[in-house]
Amino acid sequence: MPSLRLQGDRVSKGHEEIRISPDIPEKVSEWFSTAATADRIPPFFVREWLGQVLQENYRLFYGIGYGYFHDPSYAEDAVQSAALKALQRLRQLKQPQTVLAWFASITRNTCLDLLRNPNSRAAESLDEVSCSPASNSIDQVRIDWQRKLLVEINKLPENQAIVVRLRFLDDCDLGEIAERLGLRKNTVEVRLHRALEKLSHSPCLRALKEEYL
Amino acid sequence: MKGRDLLRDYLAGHLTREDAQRELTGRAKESRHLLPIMDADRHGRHFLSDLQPPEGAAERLTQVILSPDLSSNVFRENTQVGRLQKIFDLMPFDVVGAGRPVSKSKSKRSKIKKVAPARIRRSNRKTANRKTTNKKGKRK
Repeated sequence: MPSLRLQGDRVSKGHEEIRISPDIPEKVSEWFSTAATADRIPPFFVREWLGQVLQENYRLFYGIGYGYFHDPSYAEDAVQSAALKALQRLRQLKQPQTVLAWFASITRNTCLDLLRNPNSRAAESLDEVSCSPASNSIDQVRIDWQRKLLVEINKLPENQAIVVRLRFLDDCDLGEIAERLGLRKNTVEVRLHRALEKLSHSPCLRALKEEYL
Repeated sequence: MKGRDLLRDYLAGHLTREDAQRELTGRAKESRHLLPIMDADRHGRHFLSDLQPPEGAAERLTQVILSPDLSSNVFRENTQVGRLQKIFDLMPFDVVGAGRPVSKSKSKRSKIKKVAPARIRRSNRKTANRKTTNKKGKRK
């Protein structure tokens, strides 16, 4: 594995040039490039960094879980299980600047595992919830639309879904999304365009448009 | 302005949806398909902007990650022994039926050597020399 050379806020790795997020402390990026494969248990400062990153972007991960389970407590449980899985496999993460996308994939896979497992607490399936009658209060209607939107987002490929989640949940523009995911602006633009195009054709958003416009 | 540039400016936050609609005149009218995309974006942001996780959930997650017991629980190798395994460990090793006395007839039978019947070699000549033409000399 070629060693990473820090150059300001950029890291050159062979021919590629990867943009490194300014939030990653030097100590952490050094651990990932040198000691991650040797240490079975990540040191405290790495866990502290991971905890901080997950806390700052909690809404994003909670949105994934909520889209699958439609229940706040199940969603929270799913994110916690995903965090434990991520800790066990943290040394497998090669580029710390892509931690958000990496953890989002873990969260999604954890949710799917929990849904597939018949012994898990998540007894309510997606279909049952979507068929459940909505109450007439405005808040409840809004919550139902949120659920439906999150379900539609979860149907997208993960690389497109994460971009849309950042856009919808955190109201990020292209530059912010690119910075948070460690991607180029053009890549984000293409993914967002494709994802929004798919969403615009979805029956959920069409119904939403008809109801509110 | 080209359609793609328009969408880029909109997604970057430099243009509003109304501005984009105003720009879509003349040749750029072909890019009217961008408007539903912008609508989808607007609706999505409108509805999901106020999605709130349970109170203190993010802090609880951080606590889970930083808790001192973590190293002993998450990173411990799978050394837990199941109940059945414990019972098997306590029992002396025994193969079921191994202690049963073997009857005489069975022991005699086991002494007789079984010889595999000799293989009968068949020549391939017949098949090799099989005629491909019939009596009249025509090919089959």
